[in-house]
Amino acid sequence: MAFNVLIVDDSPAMRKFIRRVITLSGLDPRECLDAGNGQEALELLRANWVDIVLTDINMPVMNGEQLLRALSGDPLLESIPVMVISTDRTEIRLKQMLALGARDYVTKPFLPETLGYAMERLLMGEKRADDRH
Amino acid sequence: MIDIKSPLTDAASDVLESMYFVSVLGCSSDPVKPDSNWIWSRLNFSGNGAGSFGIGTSSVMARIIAENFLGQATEEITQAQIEEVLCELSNMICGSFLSRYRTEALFDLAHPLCEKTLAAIPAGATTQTFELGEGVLHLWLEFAA
Repeated sequence: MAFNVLIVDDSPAMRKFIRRVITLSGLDPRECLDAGNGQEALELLRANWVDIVLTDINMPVMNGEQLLRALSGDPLLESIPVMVISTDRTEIRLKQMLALGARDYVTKPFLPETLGYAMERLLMGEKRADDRH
Repeated sequence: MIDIKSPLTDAASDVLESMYFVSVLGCSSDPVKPDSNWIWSRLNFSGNGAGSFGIGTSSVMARIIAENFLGQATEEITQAQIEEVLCELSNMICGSFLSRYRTEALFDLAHPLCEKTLAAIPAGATTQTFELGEGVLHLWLEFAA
């Protein structure tokens, strides 16, 4: 399954780790883009086709919550599935992010296979939805 | 009094073992004797409780942790990458601890900073030292009054 992914995290080390986990999971992204905050992510999303966004919450300039709000207010970007990746495992944060439009929420720390499986599930779900239209 | 050490130990062990591929061989509250080769990362948090959190380890252990996290050979890893990885480790342990410790509260974590000199550990902070085989990871956590 070929797909384009955008990783949004202010930590270059974390972006590199997620990129590595995606490859180790056997997923084969056509293109792996990355951004250091929500603002950079929006600019990349407006210029590139992206099938899935993986985003942190705590980031400078524009955080994950603001990114989700911006995406849901943009008719061209609102359908892109977003997975939140955060250390925050509280129910309140999970509900908040899902209410803002996140399709999934993975807590750090995670096992590499957990992220791979969650991504695959989300991408396959999107593919099935596309096939029905 | 609510136990801090148990969720702190759980959070640190989880993070180290599942994302940094480092085995935790033991944990104690014994004081450490850092030398000038240690690296420190600290951050402040706010929200439903404010305070600070920090970690420190030897430069050798920091390099091993960075190597495991990034999946790169030692000779390819720069000092800047080692510091980034250590900052991410402090961010992850602190965030993981806070959401285990206060499950109904929201916290904001400031961006971690790396320091090469021994940071002053606040008096009254909870401290833990993890034995990681090739070295130790020392951490502290302090809730502001």
